[in-house]
Amino acid sequence: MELSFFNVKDGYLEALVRGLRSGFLSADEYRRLAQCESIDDMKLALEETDYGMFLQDEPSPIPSTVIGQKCREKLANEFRHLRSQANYPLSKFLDFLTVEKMIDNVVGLIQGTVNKKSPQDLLGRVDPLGWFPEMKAIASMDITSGYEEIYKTLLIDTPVGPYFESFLKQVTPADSESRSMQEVASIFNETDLELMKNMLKKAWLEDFNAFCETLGGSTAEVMGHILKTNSDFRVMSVTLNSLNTMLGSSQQLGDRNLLYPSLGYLYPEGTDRIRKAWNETTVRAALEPYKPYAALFDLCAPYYSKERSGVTDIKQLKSLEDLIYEKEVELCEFAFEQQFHYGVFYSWVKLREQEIRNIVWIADMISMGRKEHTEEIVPIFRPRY
Amino acid sequence: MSAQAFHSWGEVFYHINPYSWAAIGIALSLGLSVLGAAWGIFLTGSSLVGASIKAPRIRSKNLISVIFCEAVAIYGVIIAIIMVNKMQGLSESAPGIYPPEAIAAGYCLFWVGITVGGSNLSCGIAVGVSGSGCALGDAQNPTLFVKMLIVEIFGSALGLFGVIVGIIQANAGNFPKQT
Repeated sequence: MELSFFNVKDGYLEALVRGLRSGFLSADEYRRLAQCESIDDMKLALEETDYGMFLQDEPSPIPSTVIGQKCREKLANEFRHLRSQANYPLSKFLDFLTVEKMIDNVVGLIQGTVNKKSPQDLLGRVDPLGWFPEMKAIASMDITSGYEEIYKTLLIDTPVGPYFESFLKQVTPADSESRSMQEVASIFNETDLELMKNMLKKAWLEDFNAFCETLGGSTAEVMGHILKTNSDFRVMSVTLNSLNTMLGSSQQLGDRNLLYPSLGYLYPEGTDRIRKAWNETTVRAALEPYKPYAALFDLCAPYYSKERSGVTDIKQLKSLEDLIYEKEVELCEFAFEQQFHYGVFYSWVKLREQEIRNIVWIADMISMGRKEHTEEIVPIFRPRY
Repeated sequence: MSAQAFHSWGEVFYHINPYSWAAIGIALSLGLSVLGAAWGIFLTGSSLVGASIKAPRIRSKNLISVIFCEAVAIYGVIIAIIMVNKMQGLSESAPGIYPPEAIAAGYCLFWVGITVGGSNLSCGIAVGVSGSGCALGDAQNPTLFVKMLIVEIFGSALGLFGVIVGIIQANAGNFPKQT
């Protein structure tokens, strides 16, 4: 049935996004970029690709952050084109993708206002994919009066409101049902922003997964796999990073355990085992029954213990983040192997983000004059034989 | 016709005009075939329109997929014409009483309609789904076009089977010649 009815609403957009898929930079184009001598050369090289003349109006010494921002704007434009033509289930699916970016943006903005950056500067740096009008209000807010104002703005009428609400419910004790604005503000002050971001992302992930499951069919199958794996990666990276800070007090362990999403292949037994883990050996033991994750852990373990083991050749070592990026690209590429599902939209956005990271990395390396590192990118749709 | 009491379902069917069976058969064969063709065309067409934005070269080539779907409708039309030509020379010996050959011919043409309509409906969907895959595949990699076309041709053959069987089936149903 999916085969015969999917195209009624979403056939055009699916075909369009598959057309956009052919716009990813090829291995040859990456090689050409890596051989550039300067950022201006890169600009010329990019003009021959699907990116086209998007850097045309920039004054000549282009910083790599501007390239990244321009790339993201191009992605956001294409995304908006898709979004404006989407029908109901797909439109909500696409909105979920923007909400993830909105969470990033809001947390970034709050962090920026805390550090007293200028609003223009902050708004110039937000991800255009997750742009929403209330953002201006957050950036230009006077935070001397506490976070109360931000909170009012956030909770009312923004797409991220529900997630902030569920976050609040989790951090406040259950008995304080009627909490005043003052209390809310105090929670906000206490909570570490990074912690808050992770909690919001967790709520988003669970919500998105529930939505994909209601869609059913191949969408639930493909997206279920991607989101489950992603949430497992999230569990692993949170765990490893908290190990690295060497802060294993029970309070922090509690904070950490709040961040584990309640979905994924690790959930519930694996997550439970990791919850009890406190150092590398115990984490490894907890991951033991999950072969792919245990293998991933073994791959990146030397990176984290390099200080102790005294390995000097850092080039060979990869952090968990790098490995996760690679795995995610692989996951998203496989989503294109099936037709008639929404996973391709998610995958296209994720792959484009990785491509932008690649371009920015190459630009950074070129402007720093360290061309030997330009090869260290995650190629997208690498030819498979 | 005077008011009658029917004693069984068999009797009810017996009194239905054989022409109306034949006419329903024609409607089913043509209607379901056109439905199948239309379904196939929108499946292919929506993908084709989207895919040809980034790869405009595929747009004329992939019209073949649309034509394959269109052929399904033509099968239905052919059978409908054959069936219409058979509908002649019905005579009533008494009000509501038809000769047995005529009743047999009516049932025959009805089931021809079911055969042809059903097979062409599924054929249209099959060709439509493979045609949509063909458009998407061709946009990414032009060498896939011919391969997908073969898949489509086999899908299209399904409808042809229905047509051949339908023609043979229709040969058996002849209304008695008018005297």
